[in-house]
Amino acid sequence: MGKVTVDMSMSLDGFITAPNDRPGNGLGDGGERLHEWLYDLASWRERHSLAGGKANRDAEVLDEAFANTGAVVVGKRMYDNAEGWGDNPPFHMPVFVLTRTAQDTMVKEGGTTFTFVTDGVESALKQAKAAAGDKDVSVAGGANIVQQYLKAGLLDEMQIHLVPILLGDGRRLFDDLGTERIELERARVIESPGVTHLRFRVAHRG
Amino acid sequence: MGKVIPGMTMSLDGFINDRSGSVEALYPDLVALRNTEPLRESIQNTGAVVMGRNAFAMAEDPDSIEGNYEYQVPIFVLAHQAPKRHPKENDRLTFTFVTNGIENAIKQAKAAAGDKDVTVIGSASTAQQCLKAGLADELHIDIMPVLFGGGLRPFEDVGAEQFQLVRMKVMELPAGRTHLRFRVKKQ
Repeated sequence: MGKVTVDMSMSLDGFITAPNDRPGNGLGDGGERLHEWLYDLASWRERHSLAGGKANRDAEVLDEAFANTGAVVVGKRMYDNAEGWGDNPPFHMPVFVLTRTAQDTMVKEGGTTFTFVTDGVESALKQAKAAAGDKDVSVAGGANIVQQYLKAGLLDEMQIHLVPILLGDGRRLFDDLGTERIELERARVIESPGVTHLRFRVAHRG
Repeated sequence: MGKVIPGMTMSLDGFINDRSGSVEALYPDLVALRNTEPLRESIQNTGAVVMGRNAFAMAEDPDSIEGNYEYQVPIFVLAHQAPKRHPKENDRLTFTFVTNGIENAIKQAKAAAGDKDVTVIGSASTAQQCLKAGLADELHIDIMPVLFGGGLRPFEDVGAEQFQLVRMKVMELPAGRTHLRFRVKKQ
């Protein structure tokens, strides 16, 4: 059985987007600094149908996440901000979009399908798990969706790609988590010059 | 010339204390911490400490600091006013109460530290003031594997856009503590 994971690039002050994130400006004003560590990586470029790129420790971390993931859950706002990721989205696997409005499943180039789920996070996860088989389900965001899964006790692991910048404003990954403390367990630390990859297991309550 | 280094421990969601103001969950390793490499190194390199008002107030008995504190150096305490009775000192650890702001405290601490570093210890507000005033040369942050969901955030309102951080070092310490060091470049 696969795990339920989160992989997220976060600034040292806790933001996963800069201010004014909106369609066409998914990371907010100046927020691309959060993903700068990705753009030159061979594994990232391949996913985005681009040639070349570097093979280094960061690329290995990314490759590993791609290889282990069998399905993805995202929120509708993230989907809209990314404008549906175009004709050939970088997922290349089933994606379940949490939304309020029913919509037909979309089949895109390169193996990505978008299934729109209107009956909540648990249902989306159940469908994603079935699609992922033995592989992991990645909760890809936005922040609000990650928070819902975290609060519901449904996440097994989080990998935070900690970027050494202060953004000062934007969307925080960990906001609105409620009053109960959530215990984690550090599972792995990988450092590279541009980013520190911190992996945590989520301690399950009860 | 020594460096000015604010240090702090925070939860993964970026709080340096929880909703109730407690720091307990951030220091399950308080005793063992003293023997970790980063702290030993910091103790060795520190020539003076600038301490926030709240950090000083955390000591139940100010006279007990002198004998117990890991940094046996001159301590400059940020204060609204000096306490009525001066706390106990020894020939290495002295107290100076600075009532005219962090810049003056840092200036005095630098003079006292000589070639050694000035370590800044205190609440979110002390670190904020230090960053905001462009006084920090490095930033040492320990991340603990816990989510508080509320509390005090150290990086609020520091004028984030003026800083560029360069990651210098990452160390995995016991109890899930991850020590991160950054050089602060002013833009």
